[in-house]
Amino acid sequence: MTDIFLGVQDALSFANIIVIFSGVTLGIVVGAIPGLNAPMAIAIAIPLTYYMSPLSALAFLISVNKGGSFGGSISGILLNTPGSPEAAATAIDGHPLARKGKPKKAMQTALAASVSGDLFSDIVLILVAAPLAVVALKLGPVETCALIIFAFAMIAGLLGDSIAKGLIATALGVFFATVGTDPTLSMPRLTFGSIELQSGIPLMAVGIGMLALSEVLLQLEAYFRGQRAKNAAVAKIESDQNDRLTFAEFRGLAPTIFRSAVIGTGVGALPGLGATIAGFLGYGAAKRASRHPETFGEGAPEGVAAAEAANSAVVGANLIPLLSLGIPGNVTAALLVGAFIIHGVAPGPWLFDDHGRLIYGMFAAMVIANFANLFIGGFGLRLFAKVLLIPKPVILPALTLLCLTGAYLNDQSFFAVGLTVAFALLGFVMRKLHYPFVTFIIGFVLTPMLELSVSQAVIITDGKLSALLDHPVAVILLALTVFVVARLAFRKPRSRTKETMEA
Amino acid sequence: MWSRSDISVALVLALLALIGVFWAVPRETIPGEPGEIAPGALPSFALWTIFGCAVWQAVISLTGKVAASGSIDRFSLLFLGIGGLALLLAMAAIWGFGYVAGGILCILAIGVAMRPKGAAWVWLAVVAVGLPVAIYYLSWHGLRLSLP
Repeated sequence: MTDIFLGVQDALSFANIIVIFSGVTLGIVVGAIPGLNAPMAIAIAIPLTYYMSPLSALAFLISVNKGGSFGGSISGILLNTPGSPEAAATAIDGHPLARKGKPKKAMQTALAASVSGDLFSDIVLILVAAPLAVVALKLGPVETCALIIFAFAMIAGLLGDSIAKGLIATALGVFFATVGTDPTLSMPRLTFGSIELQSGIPLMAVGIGMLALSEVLLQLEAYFRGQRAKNAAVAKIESDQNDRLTFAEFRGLAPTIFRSAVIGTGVGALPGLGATIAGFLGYGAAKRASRHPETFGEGAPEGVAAAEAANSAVVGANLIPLLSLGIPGNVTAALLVGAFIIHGVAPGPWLFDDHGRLIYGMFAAMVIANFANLFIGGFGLRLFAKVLLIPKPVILPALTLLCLTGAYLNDQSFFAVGLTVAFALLGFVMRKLHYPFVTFIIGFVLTPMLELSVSQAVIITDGKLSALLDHPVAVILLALTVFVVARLAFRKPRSRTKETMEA
Repeated sequence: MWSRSDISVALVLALLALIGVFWAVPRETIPGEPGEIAPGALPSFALWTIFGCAVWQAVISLTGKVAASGSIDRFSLLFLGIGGLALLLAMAAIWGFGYVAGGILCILAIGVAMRPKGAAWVWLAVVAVGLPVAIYYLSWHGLRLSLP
C-alpha cells in the first residue's frame, strides 16, 4: 500500500508532470505526420531518457505512445492518410465527417474516444497485472521457457504473411541476440574478433535501425519513386457551424466507446495482436450493433469513436503480458523492455515486489498522461493539424539525423551508428519482402530470458525430455505451440496487410 | 501465382543459415561443458529454424499455396545501395567535421536531393541549421552527453 501512495506521489511531482506533457505533445506531433508513428518516436527518444529517473523515463515514453495513438487519427481524418496504421479504421468515417464540414467534431470525437478507451485499458491493467504477476511468479524455468516459445509461435504466426516468414524473422532476432558474450561460460560468441561486439548488439541499434531509420528509408524510396504525399488536401476542408462535439453527443457515444474499449483491451492483452486489428474489430462491432449501419462510411461519429476507442485501448493493455509475464506483446512493449533495462530494472512478474513504487508510479503516470492527452489534444487541435503541412523534404532529412544521433548517444560510438545503419538496411529489405520486423525485435529482446530459462530447465530436468511430464503447464504450452504452428501453417492464404506487420 | 522474390530470398536465407551452422558457429563458439548447454546451441538452433522455414517458404511459394507477397525490384535494390552509402557518408561527415557541420551537411544533402519546392527551401535551410545546433547544445548542456 505504501508503494502505491509513494508511486502516485512521485508521478505527481512537477518534473514528471512536465515530462508527461512533453511526451504527449511529441507523440501527437509524430503521430500526426503520415508514415511516422509512436514506436518510431519511442525508439529515437529512448537515448534522451538516460539521465532521467526511471519513472520519468517510463512516463515520458508511455506518454509518447499515448499521444501517438491519438495523433495518428489527425491525418487520417483530415487527409484520409492515417498517420499510423491503427488509425486506418478511424479514417473510414473520420474523413467523410470532416468533408461534411465537421473536421473539428471528428477530431474531438476521436480524442474523446481515444482517451476514454485508453483510460479503460489502463484501469484494467492496474487491476489485472499485479494478480497475474503473482500467478506468473509460480512459473519455473521450464514453464517460462515453454511460455516464451509459445509467445514466439503466436506472434510469428499472427504478424506475418505466412508463419514461415514470421518464424524466420523471429529466429533471425534470436540469432543476432546471441552475438556477444555467452552467459554461461562468459566467453566471446560470434564476435568475429570484434571487441565492440563482445558486449552484444545494443537493443537501441536494432530498435532505431529497424523501426525508425528503415521507415525513413522506405519513405525516401517512395518519394524518389514518385509516390509523393499530398500535403495540400487539408486546406480544402472547412468547418461549418456546430462543428464541435457536445457533451450530449459524447454521452450518446458512450456505449459504443465502452464496447470498443473492451474489445481493444482484450486484443491488446494478447501478444501479437495489435491496435490495427483492434480498431477494425471495434469498428465492425459498432456497425453491427448500430440501428443505422448504412451511415457507417458516410461520416458516422460512432464509427470514429468505435475505431479510436478500440485502437487506443490497446496502449495500456499491451503492457499486461510485459508486466505480468515479462513478455512484450508488441513492438512498443519491446522498446519499453529496453528502457527498463537501461534504467537497471528487469521487467517481469517480480517487478511488483522489487520495484513496486516505480510500477505504481508508472500506473499513475499513465492515468495522468490520458488527461494530458485530452488537454493538449483539445487545445492544440488546430496547431497539430498544421503539422500535416510540413513538407517531406524537411521531415525526412531531419529524422535521418535524429536516428543517427539517437544511435550515437546510446553507446557514444560510431560502431553503434554503423550497426544501426546495417539494421536499417536489413529492416528495409524485411519490410519490402513482408518479413515481420516486429517479431525480429521481440525475438531479439526475449532471447536472453529464453537462454537463461533453457539453461536452468536443462539443469532441473537433467536434460531428460521425460522430466517434462512433471511440468504440466509447460506441456500444455508446448502442445499449444504445436497446435498454433500447425493451424497457422495450413490456414488459407491471406493477403498481407501493412497494418498487421506494424501491429 | 508465385513470387520470384519470395523463392530467391528463401533460398539465399537457407544457404546463409547452412554457412552459419557449419562455418560461423563452430568457428566462433567454444564447445560446452558436460551437463551444460553449449554456447553454440542456441545460435545453431536459430539457424536450423531459419533453414527449415526458408525451405518450407520456398516450397509453399513454388507450389502457390500462399499468396505472392512482397517483392524487391531493381529500383529498391539501387535505392538500398545508394541509401546505405549515403548513411555511411553522413556518419563519416559527422565523424570528420563534427556533429554540427556534419549534421547540417547530412540534412542539406538529403533535402536537396529531394528537390523541395517553394517555401520548403526556407524550411529546409532553417531545420538544417537549427536542428543540429539545438541537439548539440541540448545534448552537451541538457543531457550531459557528448557529441563529436
